Amino acid sequence: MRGVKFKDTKYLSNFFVDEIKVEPELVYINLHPNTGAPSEACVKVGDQVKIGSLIGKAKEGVSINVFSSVSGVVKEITEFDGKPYVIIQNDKKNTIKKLSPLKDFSKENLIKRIFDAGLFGLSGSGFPTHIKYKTDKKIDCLILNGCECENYLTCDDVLMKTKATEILIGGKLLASIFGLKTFFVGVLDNKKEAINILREAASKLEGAKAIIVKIKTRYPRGAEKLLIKHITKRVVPLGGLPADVGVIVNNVATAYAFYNAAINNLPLTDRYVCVSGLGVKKRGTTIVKNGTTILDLLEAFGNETYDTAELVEYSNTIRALRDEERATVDKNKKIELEKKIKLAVKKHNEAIKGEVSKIIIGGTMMGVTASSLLIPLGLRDGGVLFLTKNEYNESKPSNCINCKKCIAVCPVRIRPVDIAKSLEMGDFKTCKSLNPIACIACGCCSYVCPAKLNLKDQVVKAKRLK
Amino acid sequence: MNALALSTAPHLKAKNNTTKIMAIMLVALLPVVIYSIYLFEFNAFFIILASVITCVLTETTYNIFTKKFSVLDLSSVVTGVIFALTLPPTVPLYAPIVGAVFAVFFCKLMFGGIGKNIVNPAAAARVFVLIAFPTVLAGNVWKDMFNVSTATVLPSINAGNFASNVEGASMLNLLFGTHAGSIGETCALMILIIGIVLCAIKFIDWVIPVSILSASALFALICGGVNSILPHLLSGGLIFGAIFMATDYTTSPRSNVGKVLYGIIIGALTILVRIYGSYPEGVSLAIIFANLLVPALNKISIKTTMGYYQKRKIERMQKKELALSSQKGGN
Ligand code: SF4
Ligand code: SF4
Repeated sequence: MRGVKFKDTKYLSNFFVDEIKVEPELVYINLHPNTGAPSEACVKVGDQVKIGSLIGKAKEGVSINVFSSVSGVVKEITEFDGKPYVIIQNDKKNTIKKLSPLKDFSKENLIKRIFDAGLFGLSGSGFPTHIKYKTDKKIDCLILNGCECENYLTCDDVLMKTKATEILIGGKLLASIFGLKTFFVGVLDNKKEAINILREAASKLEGAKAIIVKIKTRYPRGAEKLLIKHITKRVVPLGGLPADVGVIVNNVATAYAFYNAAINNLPLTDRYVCVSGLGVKKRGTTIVKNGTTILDLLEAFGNETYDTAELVEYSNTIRALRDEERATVDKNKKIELEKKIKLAVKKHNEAIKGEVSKIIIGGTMMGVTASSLLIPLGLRDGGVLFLTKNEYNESKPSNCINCKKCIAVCPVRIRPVDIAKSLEMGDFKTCKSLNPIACIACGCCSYVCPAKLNLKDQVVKAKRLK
Repeated sequence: MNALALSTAPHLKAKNNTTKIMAIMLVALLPVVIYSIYLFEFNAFFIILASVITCVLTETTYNIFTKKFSVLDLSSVVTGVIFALTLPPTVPLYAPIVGAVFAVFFCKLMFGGIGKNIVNPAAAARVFVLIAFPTVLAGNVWKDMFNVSTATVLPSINAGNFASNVEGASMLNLLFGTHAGSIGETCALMILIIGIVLCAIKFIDWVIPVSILSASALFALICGGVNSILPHLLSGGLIFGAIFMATDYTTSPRSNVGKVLYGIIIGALTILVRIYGSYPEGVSLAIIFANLLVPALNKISIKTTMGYYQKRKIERMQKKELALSSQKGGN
């Protein structure tokens, strides 16, 4: 059997927490969350915005619209880590600006609505959805991906449990773009409750048939190409797209966002996010606005092990210093302020006492670690994990003992150890002939390696070789 | 200090590690060790002990000089046990000691430690002592033990009078190990069962032992007739070598085609060396020879990448279309 199996960690957060409302003071909205080109800021500092006001206009080609997730005033348009950001001060009035209602559900209108509402792959791929639907290939199968095979993450699980009907209607509309009357929803069998709820909703669905496919739990079953192979028995050619075999896969969260866009005329501004890990006291899944920082989440979910007040104070100092730094023109003063900011960030991070030693945005297999609490969440991030020391293991890499476990586990059947070794030796020709391009970066090879080598990183490096 | 740990995905790793793998190997070897101590008593016990202690000491000394501690991964213990089990129970203690130093220092550490060696240290050491001390290994030092005059029953098979000459070694004796032989390669049945269990839990790859055993059966049939198949398979450490030595992770090939070829080479060479060579034991030699071919065998593999053949098909079709359209254009 390829892939790996985890201990169940989903029970920590697979419920919706009603009582917790995350209402950030400031939101940091990324104008380039997608693959492709960034969108262009179309607001100025001081502009009044509402929830759903367009703030980033899509450029030509692979690009998406970005909307404000709060109502308030645009405070700043800036750049972090080479990505454009719009910072908005929240006035907490939550006034909403809707899209104009759709005249009819024709194919053109629906595709246009996908584009207008700024939909893109919410499962982490970040691929603009409208591009998928603009294909000229013949599509005869739509799959909604509700597998969520990642460890810890429960955002899709909770979404399916609470919004099953909406997801299926969204799926129906998406299917109707290609004139399809049936579509599939793939769900792993560790989400029994979600499967039951979906099946019930499917039996009541009018105008289309939704087939809920129960899939045996294993990571990475939810990977697009593996899911297609499982459900349709078709294999996407190497380097190709699902559309090449007539299939389109969308995340259930995308289907839900499409429902909101088409029926409720709401653009994409928030998503379900799960907060999990043994490092926080309250866990669960809730709706989080685009651009909320991890600190805001932590404040809302609270934690006795943190001195939240102290943390807030530190982060406010950091913010103030940053503001000051941007305002000054003097170079020397800038450097001085930068130093101060660094010191403050250090102090701030030291204040995260308690047990948390790692914060991960996303799941444990594919997520990224956060270096500070001030990092904003984007719409692609389905979860934030506050992990304690016991929940992950760190170990030094040693020599490869050639055990071949990485070869046995790789879901796309490439040979990670051979790729890593040829890359190490500089034999790029052999390396490329081993097809690293097929790698889906699932991390299974690094997971099983007894020598604790970071094979995934090597394979991904090889993938980028020209 | 930054309070938050940073790393690249995956942040979770499986609990197994090199040390655990070696520990499992030791557990698998334990029944063989116990049975051999039961059969050969203190002879076996001291040989195994001497070999293991020497291996560990060698690696520890090396570690002290290089200041990198690798001895804790237990791999030298495994090497020591396997090497000791390939020796006859009558060898004087200097043989395992010299062999163990050779195995760990020259065959493993000199190449860069665990995972970097080219030949199986235990097999290499076994061949080394065979050449260095031919009299104690191939001679008739322990005649009275089971009434058989050499390390295994093999020389008598070679001589063609297997049935008449070997009094102590009926087929049943071979199976249960109550015959003359090296310490660990005696009870074929037990080793076979251990091997099947190890394959079942996917600890070792079944392809290698199966191809070794079937290749050697085939060659025994060709070179010696039907009657020599079972004695060849059950004696001379073939099964022990196929299960514990040839499957050594580091020195076996990674591709499936490579594994089959590797097994065939070991099986065939073993029989050929036994029948036409001057050493009765072919297994260690065959394993070493096949080990040297592993880098080449690794290159032979069938592409299994998901979608690879689909891509090739599309490319072929595109070419055809191109050819067709250009033909039409020409007309
Ligand atoms: S090589 Fe890529 S696809 Fe294969 S296991 Fe490693 S990360 Fe996953
Ligand atoms: S899993 Fe690790 S030790 Fe085993 S072959 Fe792959 S890289 Fe080597």
